[in-house]
Amino acid sequence: MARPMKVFAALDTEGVTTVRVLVRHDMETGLRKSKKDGSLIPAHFIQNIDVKHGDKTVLSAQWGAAVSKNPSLFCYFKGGVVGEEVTVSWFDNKGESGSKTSLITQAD
Amino acid sequence: MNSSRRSFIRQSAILGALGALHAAGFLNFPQASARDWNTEAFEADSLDEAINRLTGETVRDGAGIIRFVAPPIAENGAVVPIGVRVEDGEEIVSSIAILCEKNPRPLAAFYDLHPDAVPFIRTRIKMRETAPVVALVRTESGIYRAEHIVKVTKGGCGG
Repeated sequence: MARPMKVFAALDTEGVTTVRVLVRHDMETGLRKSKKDGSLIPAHFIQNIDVKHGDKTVLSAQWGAAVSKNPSLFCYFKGGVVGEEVTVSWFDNKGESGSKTSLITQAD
Repeated sequence: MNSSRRSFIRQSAILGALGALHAAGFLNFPQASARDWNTEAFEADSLDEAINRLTGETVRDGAGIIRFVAPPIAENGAVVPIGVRVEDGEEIVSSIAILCEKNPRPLAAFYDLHPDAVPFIRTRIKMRETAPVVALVRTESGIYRAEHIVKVTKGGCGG
C-alpha cells in the first residue's frame, strides 16, 4: 500500500544538508481502544527509517509507537553536493514499507 | 506455471513466515538483519528498565553537552516536537535515544548516526502527561544523559 511521503534535502552555505521527511502513517500504539466496540486497535507503526546519501547511510532510526501520527523527521549531514540523491526508506511492524529519493537543492 | 513464478511464490511464503515470527518477537538477534529493532528496549515499561536494556553500562551526566530544542509546554500531547542536539565537540556521536519517563513504553526513538551526520535530531512524539523527556547520547567516551521537562496540558495516548 503506497503511503504519501515527502523528502526535502537542502544544502546550506556551511556545507550542511538538512533532510526533512514526512510520512503519512497512523502510528497506532496498540494501546488505544476502538470507540465503536471498546476493542484494542492493533499496533501499527513505523519501526525503521533510514536516510541514505548515495550509498552511505547517514542515519538509521528505530522508532517506537510513541512517535506521533504522520511522523516528521529532521536530520543533518555533511558532505552533500547539490544534485546528489538522498533516499529515505521506512518499514513498519506489519511489513509495509515505502521509499522516496530526492535530489539535494541549494537552500535559500 | 514456470519455475521462476514457483520460486517467487515459495520465497513469498518464506518471507511471510519470517515476518510473522518477527512480529511475534522472535528472531530478535541484534545485528541479525539489515533492519534491527530493539524489541527488549522498546517494550520496557519503565524508564530505568528501558535505559538498562539500551545501554547496560554507566550513564554519565550530559547536561553540559546535550541541548534540547523543545517547548516547555505542549498543548497537545499527541504531537510534541523534540529536538536533541549535542554541542560541537571533537568526539563523534554514534547514537541518540529519546525517551519519555511517564509513557507506557518510555523509549520513543533511537538513532544511529554516521560520522558525517550532524548530531542533531528532530522528531515529534506522543506524551501521555507532563514528564521529563530523556536524551541518551553515545560518544566515543561513553553514554551521556540529559533531560527536559515538558508540561502537557492534554495527553497524547488516549483517543
